[in-house]
Amino acid sequence: MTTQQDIILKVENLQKHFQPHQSFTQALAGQKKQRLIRAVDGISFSISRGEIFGLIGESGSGKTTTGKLIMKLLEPTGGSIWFDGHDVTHLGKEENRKYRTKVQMIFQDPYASMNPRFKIKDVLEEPLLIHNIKANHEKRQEMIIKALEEVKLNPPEEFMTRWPHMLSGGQRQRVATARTLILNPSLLVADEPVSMIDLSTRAEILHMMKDVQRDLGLTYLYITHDLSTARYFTDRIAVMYLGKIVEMGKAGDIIDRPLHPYTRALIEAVPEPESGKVHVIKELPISGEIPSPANIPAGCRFHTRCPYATKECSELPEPELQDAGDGHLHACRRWKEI
Amino acid sequence: MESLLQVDHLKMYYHTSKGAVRAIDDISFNLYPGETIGLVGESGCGKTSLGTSLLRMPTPPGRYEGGRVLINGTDILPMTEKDVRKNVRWEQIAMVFQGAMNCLTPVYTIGRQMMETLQEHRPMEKKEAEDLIKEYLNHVGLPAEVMNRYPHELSGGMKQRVVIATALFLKPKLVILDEPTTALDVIVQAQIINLLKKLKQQFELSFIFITHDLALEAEVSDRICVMYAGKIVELGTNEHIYGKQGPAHPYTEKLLLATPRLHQEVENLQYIPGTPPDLINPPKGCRFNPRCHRVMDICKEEEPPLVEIESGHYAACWHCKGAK
Repeated sequence: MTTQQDIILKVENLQKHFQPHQSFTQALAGQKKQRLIRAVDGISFSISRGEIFGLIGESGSGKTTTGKLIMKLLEPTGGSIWFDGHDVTHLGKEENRKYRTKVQMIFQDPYASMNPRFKIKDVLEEPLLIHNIKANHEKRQEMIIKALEEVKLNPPEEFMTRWPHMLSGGQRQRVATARTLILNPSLLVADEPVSMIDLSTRAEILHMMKDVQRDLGLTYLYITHDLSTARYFTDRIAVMYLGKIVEMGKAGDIIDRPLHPYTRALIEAVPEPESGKVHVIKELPISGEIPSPANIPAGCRFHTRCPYATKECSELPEPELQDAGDGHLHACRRWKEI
Repeated sequence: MESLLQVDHLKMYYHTSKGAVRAIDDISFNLYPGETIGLVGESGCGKTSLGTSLLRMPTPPGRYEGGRVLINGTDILPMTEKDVRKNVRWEQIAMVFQGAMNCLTPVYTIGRQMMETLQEHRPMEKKEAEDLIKEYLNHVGLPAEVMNRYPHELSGGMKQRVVIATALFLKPKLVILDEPTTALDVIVQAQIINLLKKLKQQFELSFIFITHDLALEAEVSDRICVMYAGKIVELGTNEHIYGKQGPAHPYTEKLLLATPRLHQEVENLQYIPGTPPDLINPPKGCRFNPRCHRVMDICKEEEPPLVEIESGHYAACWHCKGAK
């Protein structure tokens, strides 16, 4: 087990509930307030320094909301977030700014996340100006060159004067990564950094991100719906379903020996590049689509789609995460039988 | 067997102010009834351009520069636009465009937009049309009440089902599917793939399945056609490409190595350095030579022909036997 000191980010019982707006006519008609949308519904995990932690789930599982809560783009409605031993759950404006030099985000779409009228050097200089890094022009140029070298955009001087439209998708995502690295952060939140990118470029970006992580000793929170990249990229995985973590453990353990039926379904659904499957209709051990987070089923929240669900699953209170040995946590009552 | 679709030395260039972009450069293949052909390659290799070219609707400024597209033995390129509309497009070939599910009109109900498509081609009584719409919604696994819903009330998977149902209305024999599952989650993707397989049997359809995801292609396509820079570099059966022996072309080989595997521990994923070439001035010789790890002198000088290296397996590489 890791010691307390090694933990860079700790999330405890984190919650984010959204109150949907009531329209004027609804208020006049005296309708009841709409149900809360429980996007993140009490999750706890911790990430050690130098670790790549994957957060996996379908759309609507609350993984992106979790990322935003950690980035402090949203205010949590419950629970706490601890970074480097400090409580960062609620921060003032100045503290927030300081926090964001240490925690940075890589966005999904490298085409939309860059100002097309900025040259690459301007793209990279902006965070330095925003965060009032006290450095003269030459010093800033040096920092920009260093950041570009870290993401292997060589020669850096040549890339500095280019415009974003002159770069390929892979190069853009490298620039986006350099932009986060320039502030010397210790935690990077990457929300689906490769889902919009071509296959061969995807491999290139993951490769680069792993290299940078090793070189600089960074910690990543990698948010994705794609289990196959998670296997390659992460050390530990947490699988989310409707705002809760249903399984958590080492990446290899989760994928080779899944305990929760939802994780099993996710794994079954992943296509593999092997021959002889054209005429086979895959049997998916899951039915229907993810319910709305405004209307989470009672009992185990997965029971409506679970092929193994019994009466107990819908009637007894929701199972909590429990250890199956070796740090492999799961929240399924019937894990031994299935 | 009589082929359903025969593409014969097709060329389609985009005429821009900088010169002609050779998006489809001398492509030939056959598609047999009941077969699924997969088109794979990186973005910009001409997959979607080929799809729209087969429907006789290349995106402007694209123009045909030669070749033939035969559907059931009839060349559609010399036909008049009116003729194509009446007899070919959506009647014999339909296409599910990339991101089509996001192009449903937000202000019309699903029923009304489906009705519009149907009435355009098959004027009929409203009641009759409604019954037909309900029948097709049922085929794609949606309840009839979806007719009265608006697109924002449906999930991504449901919208994609609506789009597929609309494409099947006029009973085409060939459906071109352009990245039909790219924006969807894995579980919904698997459900849609299962649905497509069922529909294919039920309606005796043929598919052209366009995607950049080689792993997904392995699950749906009987034959795989790998494209690079407007050309076919390898064409083979599912077994040829994904079987034990492995693909013949270095590009396919690298693409497969760049695909992450779920049940394998891989230390480092491989990737193809560089970017696809500029198609206004493609590189001399083999178009893949600047990025190839097995490049030889001849690759930089002469373009390799697409040759049959074993029964039904074609590749365009100087390393393959029979190329010289």
